[in-house]
Amino acid sequence: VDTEIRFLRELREDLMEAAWREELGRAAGGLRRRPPRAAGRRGLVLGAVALATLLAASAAVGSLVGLRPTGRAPSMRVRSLVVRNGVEAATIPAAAPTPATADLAGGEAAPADAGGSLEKVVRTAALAVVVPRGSFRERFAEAADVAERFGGFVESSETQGGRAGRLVLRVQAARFREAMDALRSLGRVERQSLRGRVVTGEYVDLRARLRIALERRRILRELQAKAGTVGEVLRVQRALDQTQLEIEQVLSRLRTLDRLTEMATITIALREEGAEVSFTEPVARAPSLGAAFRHAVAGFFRVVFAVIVGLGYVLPVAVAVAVVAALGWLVLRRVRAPG
Amino acid sequence: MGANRYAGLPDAELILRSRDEPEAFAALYERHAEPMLRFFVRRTLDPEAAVELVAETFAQALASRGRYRDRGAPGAAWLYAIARHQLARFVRRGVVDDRARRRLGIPDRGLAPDDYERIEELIDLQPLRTALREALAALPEEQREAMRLRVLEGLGYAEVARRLACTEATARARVSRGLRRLAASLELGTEEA
Repeated sequence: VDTEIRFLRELREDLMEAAWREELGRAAGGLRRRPPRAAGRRGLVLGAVALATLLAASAAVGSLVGLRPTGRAPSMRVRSLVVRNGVEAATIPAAAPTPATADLAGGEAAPADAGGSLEKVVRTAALAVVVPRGSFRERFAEAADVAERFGGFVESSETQGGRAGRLVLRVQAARFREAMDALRSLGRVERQSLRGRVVTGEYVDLRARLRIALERRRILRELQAKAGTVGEVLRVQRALDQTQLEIEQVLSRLRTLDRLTEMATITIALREEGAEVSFTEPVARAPSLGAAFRHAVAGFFRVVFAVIVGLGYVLPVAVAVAVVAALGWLVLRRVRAPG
Repeated sequence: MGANRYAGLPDAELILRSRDEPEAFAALYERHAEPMLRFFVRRTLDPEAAVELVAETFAQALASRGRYRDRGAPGAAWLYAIARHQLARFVRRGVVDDRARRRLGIPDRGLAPDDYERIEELIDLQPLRTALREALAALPEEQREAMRLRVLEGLGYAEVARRLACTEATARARVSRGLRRLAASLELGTEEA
């Protein structure tokens, strides 16, 4: 540059370097190499904000449109259905026969094969029934009788003001459906929910663990008979104690599962027409970390589900808005650009 | 030097060719850099801001030359439209934009001491001297004295510094601040080119 001002001379070199860099970049791959710039970072932030807004909007829309998931992670293998106004949407298969664990209680017998078509399901149900005025006591007694009629018992009962009450019934799982029919016939079904928790996998695992532990105990007993020193006797005894403890824990859990799957639990809330009592409370349960974790997982999947559903609604609109905005921006840029 | 190859070409042609020939942009720059610096420095009375505005204007021109359309108007009009846009932003925000320079990876370069005096010579203060005499009264004492010695008496910064018993850098800073205040009071930045 024909100037005495050094800044202008240096600026010429800088501009030329930038121009050549751009030219070479284009020649190399048709891509313009751009150095990092604030606008890029700003674009990144704006993009992140836009994406977050889109996801939040999708979640909001997804939850508003009423497509709610079942509330549990699919991998938990829980079948659930909610029936409102007496209309049943689906049914749970009748209870499968439950092989008793009595053959295992002695500890020596090999457990029966629990695989194949055998399915272990823990069934629970809750229903709210409205009965005619003045008939509460009679119907409440009939509900209690249902438990005995179907091979079960009343686990708990409570009444409120002589016009409403609640019963927790245990009935034979095999007669679960008959018991439910009988309870429904007491009045107008206001709300009903059925749940079947499949525990077959856990049951099979437990039986396998039991089989292995029994075999280990047999071998340890043989070793105990051959032990030559006090030290060997003590070591084998310690291993035997541990194995015995494991066998008892597994047996206990198997018996619990048997008990839960053999007997279904039905919570029925009865109220007279016009009685101001809520039947929607679930059976009280002690809070636990496991339940909290399950709720958290279920909540997570609910949000993901809502976002996916919401995206289906929001995305087409968002794309249209983005296209219009991009066109507007281009037009504005052209209008504003000098020349 | 490729500048001779482009000597007879009009500005619009240089801009169009610069898309594929960087030397054409160099020719455009050599043709307009110093006049544009004069344009800015007379409106800002601030050498630092003026050189930054030149750098940003040419960087913006380089970055957006692909969008230039020759509609019959002189190419310089396009270039000075960018310059006026940059000047308006500077007046409005008080800082020179640097987006185009950053995008192109052009480094920030300081102004050498010698450049200050050379750039101030471009200001051509003669028409402003009357207005200056009145405006000087409103300046703080130290700036007023520095301005009087540098602008009205035309002394070099070494002499200004000696008379004010300060360093040359301080003398330059006082003159620079005084000129900026003066520019603001005279609203030079809003004048048309």
